[in-house]
Amino acid sequence: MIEFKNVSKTYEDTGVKALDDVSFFIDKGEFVFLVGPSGAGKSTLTKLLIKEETPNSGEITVNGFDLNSLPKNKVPYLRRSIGMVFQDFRLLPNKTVYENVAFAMQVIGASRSEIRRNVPNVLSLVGLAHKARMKPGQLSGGEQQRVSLARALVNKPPVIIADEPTGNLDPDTANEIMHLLTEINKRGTTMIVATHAKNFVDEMQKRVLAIENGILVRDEEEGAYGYDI
Amino acid sequence: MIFRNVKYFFAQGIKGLLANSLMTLASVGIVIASLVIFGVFVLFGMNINSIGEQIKEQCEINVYMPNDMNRDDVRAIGSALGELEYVKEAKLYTKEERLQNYKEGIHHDQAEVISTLEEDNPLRDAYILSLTDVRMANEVAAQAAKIEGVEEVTNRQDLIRSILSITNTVKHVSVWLLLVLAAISVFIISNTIKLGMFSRRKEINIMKFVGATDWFIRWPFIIEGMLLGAVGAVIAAFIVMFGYGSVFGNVQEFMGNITLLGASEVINVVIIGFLIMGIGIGMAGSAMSIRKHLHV
Repeated sequence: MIEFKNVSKTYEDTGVKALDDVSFFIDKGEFVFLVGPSGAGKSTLTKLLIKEETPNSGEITVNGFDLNSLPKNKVPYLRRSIGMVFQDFRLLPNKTVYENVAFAMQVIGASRSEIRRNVPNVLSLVGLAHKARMKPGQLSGGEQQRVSLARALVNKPPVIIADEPTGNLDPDTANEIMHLLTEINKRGTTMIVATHAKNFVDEMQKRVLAIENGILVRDEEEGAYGYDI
Repeated sequence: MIFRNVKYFFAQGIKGLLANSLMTLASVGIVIASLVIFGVFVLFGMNINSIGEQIKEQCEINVYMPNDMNRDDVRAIGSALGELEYVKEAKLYTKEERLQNYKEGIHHDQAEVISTLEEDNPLRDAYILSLTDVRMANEVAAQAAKIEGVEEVTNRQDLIRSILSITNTVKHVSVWLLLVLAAISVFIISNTIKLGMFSRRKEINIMKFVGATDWFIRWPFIIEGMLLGAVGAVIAAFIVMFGYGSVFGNVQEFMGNITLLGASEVINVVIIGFLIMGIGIGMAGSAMSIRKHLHV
């Protein structure tokens, strides 16, 4: 499903070696935590997955796309197979909840009937059907993150990458979001969660990939966070 | 491209225009100004061109005989003129006819002066030569002048030459003017589009990570540019045609038997030409912004 083979990435402008000979394989339907100190290379890894950056060496395969040979004009199709969730939600403030989610379908050319069918479904999945007409500004942080998750889900991607999804949320709300991510994973979506939330990683006993200074230092099933915060 | 996408692109393009109304006004304004200035030159040029053609058609050589020559000798010269190469027809225009014509052309007050002339007509008999090939006017005139008994030969070749040179100048100036004005318009439009991109950078970023294609992201901006150009072109066409319509009648009065191009003859050129140029300028402006600022 997702495979990194000896992937290295050095940023040319700064000379920073962000990833050094990283290899791993993530199977369909797995739940994986990506942990490590700030600046360890987690963001670079996610950027490589959606081909926002290209590696200096090594091979990356995502959902059947060979990223080394993927031409630029096919990158959008790779990205349609990956749902992205960010710490800062990245919602459009002047659109309603419904429109924010529908937007993700609209811009890949989905038909109106598909949009009308999928958006309400995914909004009820994240528990926000009753707030469809509100604007993000009227919602709490947790609710905004649910909208962002709904947007990531609406095109039914096989993989979701969540970059610090609970970073801006209070502990209770963070708990809800983590729970939701687990639920979605149980339905078969591969889930990759980059996080600093030690308590969740320790408690949930999922597979953990730990990166330090660009090197994959740990890859364990039912792992723990392993750092002091 | 699917129809619903086209609809989306136009909706977004129009939204872009309305969101940035001040820059939209500036862009449309500069397109109008450019096309109006250009249009004035083009219409001027087209008319000069048409006047030149008409004068060429009317290009006749006048061959004058001495005032005291008798009519038989005049006719003999006339048949010699008729046999010259490139002469289609040599038509006699007697001094009586010429005086009569002259009388009709002047004011009543002066009619009395003319009547004194009738007794001793100072005008000369003349032949008017029409040609098979107007470019040979100078050669024919030279030949005619060599015929025994011919007193004077006039032709309007010089006038044609100067009109042709005016036409050329106008053409050159129009082209340069268009280039400069188009460059300014493209620059202003590209800045408008750039601002639109800046204000929608969040949307563009989301579009990228949910997998919108590059062209899906670009089209609304291209259409926004095209609409800016098209709106400017339509307004400019109205202004130019209205202006032309009101100036046309006044100028035509002074032109005698030369006719200017009527509004109906130039309206197609103006509307189609302006639309093509306006839309082209708009697309060039957006393309410039997209290349420089929209890294998709």
